[in-house]
Amino acid sequence: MKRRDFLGTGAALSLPLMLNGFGMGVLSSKRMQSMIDEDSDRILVLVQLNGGNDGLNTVFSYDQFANLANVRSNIILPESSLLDLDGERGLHPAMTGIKEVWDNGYLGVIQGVAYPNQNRSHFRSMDIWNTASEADEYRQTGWLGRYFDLDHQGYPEGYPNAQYPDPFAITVGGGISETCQGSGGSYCLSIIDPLNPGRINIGQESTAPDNCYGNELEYVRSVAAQANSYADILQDSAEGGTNLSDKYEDNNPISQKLKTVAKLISGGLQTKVYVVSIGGFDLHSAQVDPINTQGGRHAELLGQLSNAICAFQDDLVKQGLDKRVLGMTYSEFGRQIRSNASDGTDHGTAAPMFLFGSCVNGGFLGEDPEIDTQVEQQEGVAMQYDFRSIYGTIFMDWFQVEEDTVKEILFDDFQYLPLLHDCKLVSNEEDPELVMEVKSFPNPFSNYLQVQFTLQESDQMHLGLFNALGAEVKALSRQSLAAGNHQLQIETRDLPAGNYFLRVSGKTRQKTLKLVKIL
Amino acid sequence: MAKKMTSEKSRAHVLQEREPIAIPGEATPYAGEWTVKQAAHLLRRSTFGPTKAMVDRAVDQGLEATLDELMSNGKRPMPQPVKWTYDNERQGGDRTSIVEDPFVSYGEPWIESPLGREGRNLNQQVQRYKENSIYAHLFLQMHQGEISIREKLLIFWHNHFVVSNIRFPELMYRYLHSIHNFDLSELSTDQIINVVENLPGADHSTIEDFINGNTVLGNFKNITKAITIDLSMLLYLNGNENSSQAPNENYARELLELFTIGKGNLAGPGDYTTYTEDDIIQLSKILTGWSQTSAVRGGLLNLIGTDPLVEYYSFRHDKSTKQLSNRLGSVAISNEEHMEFSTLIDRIFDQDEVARNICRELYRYFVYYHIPPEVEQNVIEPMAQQMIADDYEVEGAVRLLLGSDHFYSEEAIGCMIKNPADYLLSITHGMNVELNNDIYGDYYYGLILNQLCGLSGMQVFDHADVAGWKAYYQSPQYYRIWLNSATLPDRTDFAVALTMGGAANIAGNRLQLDPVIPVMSFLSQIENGLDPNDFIHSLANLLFPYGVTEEQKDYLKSILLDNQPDFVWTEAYSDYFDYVENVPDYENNRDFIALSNAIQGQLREMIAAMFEMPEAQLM
Repeated sequence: MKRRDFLGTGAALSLPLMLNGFGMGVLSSKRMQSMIDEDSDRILVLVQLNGGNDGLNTVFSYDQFANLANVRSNIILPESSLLDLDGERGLHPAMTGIKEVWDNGYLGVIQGVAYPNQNRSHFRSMDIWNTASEADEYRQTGWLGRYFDLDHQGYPEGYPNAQYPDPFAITVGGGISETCQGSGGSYCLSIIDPLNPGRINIGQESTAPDNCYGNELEYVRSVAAQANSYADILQDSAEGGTNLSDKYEDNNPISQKLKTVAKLISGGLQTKVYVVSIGGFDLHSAQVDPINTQGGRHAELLGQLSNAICAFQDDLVKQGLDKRVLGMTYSEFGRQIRSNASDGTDHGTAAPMFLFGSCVNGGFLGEDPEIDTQVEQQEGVAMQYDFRSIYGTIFMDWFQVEEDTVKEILFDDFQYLPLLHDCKLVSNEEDPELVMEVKSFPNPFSNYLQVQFTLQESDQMHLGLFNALGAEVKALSRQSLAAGNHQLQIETRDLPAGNYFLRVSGKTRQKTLKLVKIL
Repeated sequence: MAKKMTSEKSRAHVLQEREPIAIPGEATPYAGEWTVKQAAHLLRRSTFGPTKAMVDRAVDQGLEATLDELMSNGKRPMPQPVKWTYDNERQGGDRTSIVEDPFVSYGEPWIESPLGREGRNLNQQVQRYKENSIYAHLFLQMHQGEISIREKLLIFWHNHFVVSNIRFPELMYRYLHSIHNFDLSELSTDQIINVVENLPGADHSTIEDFINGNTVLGNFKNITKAITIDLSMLLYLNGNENSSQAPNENYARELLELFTIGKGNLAGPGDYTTYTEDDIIQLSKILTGWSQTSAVRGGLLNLIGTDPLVEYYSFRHDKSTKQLSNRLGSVAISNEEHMEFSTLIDRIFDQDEVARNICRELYRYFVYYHIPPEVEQNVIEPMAQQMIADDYEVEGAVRLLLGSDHFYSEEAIGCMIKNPADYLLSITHGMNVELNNDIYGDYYYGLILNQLCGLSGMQVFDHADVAGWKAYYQSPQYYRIWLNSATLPDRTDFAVALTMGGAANIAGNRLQLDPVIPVMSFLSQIENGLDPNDFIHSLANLLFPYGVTEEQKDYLKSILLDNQPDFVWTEAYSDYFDYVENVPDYENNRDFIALSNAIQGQLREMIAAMFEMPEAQLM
């Protein structure tokens, strides 16, 4: 299947008209509504860790290790067994796969992700993550469902169609994801084996009665119609796609699911979101093998997850698809800091999230959780980042959603984070002049910072300077700049010394630089 | 597989998204029309895949007598599962169907026999046949053609008090016995628990009362107590590891959030309106001390299902005084050793919200998922008040619901998406598949039902999470969660295979299935069979809550008659009964066999097509 290549908005506006024969009016008015780059071929892969992953047994900081060992003596593993990342932090020894992704610069770790007023119920908390609601608010739609709703108000009526022949979102392995619940139905198609998608002979339809039965009948019919109408394109993509990595493991379910995802992407399916899940993280007991704490159930799960992500990334790189795909892991909560006497851990608060992909800013964001040996039994890791800030940043940088729209979908005070870097989309027709170059000096900086960049066309620009915690400490808010060279100056006299990120972003391109402030 | 596909690739579909319906009607006793429609509605919701005979019986005897029968059969003890694998080749088995067990013979109950003391291999085989016998048994009980609510409620309680991945048949049996008693002598305290330390003045007799004689319609408070010290639950939610030294709060949290009072809205930090985070800490302490016996720790080989499996260890119990929050009545609970958990459960059940919470769950299981304020007021509240007046006996509230105006409201009929067991049993049990009293064959069949159900997302003893199947709690989708683009084709695939014979692809597994549905039994069972139009309408009324329209009937008729005129059916039908009534030894008559095969082939095709229709997914 021939892939559509889009880089700039100009190309994006004209090409689909030729492909699909839809009227300009429809398409441009759609664009005016949401400014979503409908023709971006970027893909988001969510990896849901069910049960609440113990982040403190996943990512370790050497600085805090002695204290952690003190409050988790029965489950702590040997410091020497950790896989060193950057001299300050290490990974669980089962995560050699993820370590490889890190070494290639494709792994971002965001420390301390949660939401205010943690709810320690699995179900409520997963609901909050999937709907991106406040802790005390019940939303009926998922965070990605609301994004799809922007341009597909009538969905599922009239879908699939010539313009949108592909499923918007797919879960592999059965079940659908609440993240993709839209106001009119779920955008999520559930598949087990795309080479053999199910089809249904729905027979002769009747007018559904206008009652409760009629409502549910229409729902069942819509599922049947959806399954039938997406079956061919799924099968075509699976048959046309390939896997080039030899790292997938047969007896690893999450690996097999990601292998299917890679195959569908490779086969040209235009689905934007894939959701896969791995369960079993609710380890109140026997999280580790007490004889050898490097082993046990948690080690098995982390090993499966890590090897699966490594194989997936390897596959995408080998196929040249890696710059189109962003992955993210999430779990409903972390565990409590203290272990319990059952060699396990109880429901906690914040935990690290992994972002993986070739466009991810490799490295850590946020501070390592501080472990106090006097920590109370029920205390969890403190929140540093609201999970919705990660979602919001993905919307803005990955799906090019306008900030106001992001606020509408998520919440008003989402924090824009330097998670992704400028990553050219895969294209044979790429115009090198459209790549943004940003220079910043001096580095290290002290009282001011000069920023230089060149625009090929006029653009809405935003400059943000973030501290190591991800807080935006300086901003030159959006202003329209003409094509040509620009030099802007940011006053930095009042900032404390430390690591900073400068982020320069336009409508479609952005650049993040890591800088150091000295006094 | 012989299967017709719709050819349209991209078929525009009209879905008017409407708000979930608020089902009208109150909890007042229903005295309206009592026809096949209402009787089938009651039996579809309260049994699995009711047969035509059951529906006819309910219509004849009326609502009250049908409710009486549902309830009285619902309280009958559960028969015991038996050894269903053959003992040796003489019994006719092949290698795959023989498991030698030195303690139990083919067809005998196994509950009072050990897993074995011999070779390791043998034990695993014995363990496997016993475990499988429980799965098969649960499905065979659904398949008895009885008007009994027992099976529906057993699944309800299993989905309420979730335990998962237990795999030891003795434990699974004891867990089930905590919910509904087996046909077995009652267990004494000595059999229920080992009290290792001499507890002065301890009265154990009450513990027997908690465990023995529970039924699915019995006392919710009692079942909760039995389950709290049930070994499967202790293992599943780590209660066995909860000690004064280091409390494990897993069970305490779910006891409040899922099993009893339910979680309210977040009212403040750590305050969920119905209880607080601190209550979880206090409950964890109260529940300390319970664990498996040392005999269980040593392995289950020599144990039998009626041996003590749990033990109360006083030294592991937190003997401090525990203070509950104002959400749970501000009571202080001081040390009561092994009876302290019982006092705790009494105090939790003092809160009327426990009754409301379980009644909402019953409502979602039997009626509909949407509970707007008017349903809360008109239905949930009267049910809860009934249950409180009955000191948490379940029967009154369930009977109130199933006999109410609300339940028989037009809106309530047909608006539930069948769970996998409902769908599966509606095409097997509901279509007259009969057990043939061949134990191996029947259990094997029960296991296939279990497997189909499990692959469709409803595996018993293997819930994905402790809240139960998502369809009963996850808003906004609820029942709709059962069906998606993967599970719906799976369902229709096995339905077609069970009707026509052939392979079905289910969740990536390929299963070869026999055409077990005796389609010819409907020839004589359906009224007015001579006219194909009447015949199809009658069959559809049996299968679908609202039957079929004229267009749908014509579509089905085109399959039944291969597009030939109606009289072809009428002739074949009357010829068929002409043989049956007038020709001696007709079963060996060549012409009769040819005719019968021809009718059967067409019937199977049409019935398979009916199971594929979305209408078949609703009840």
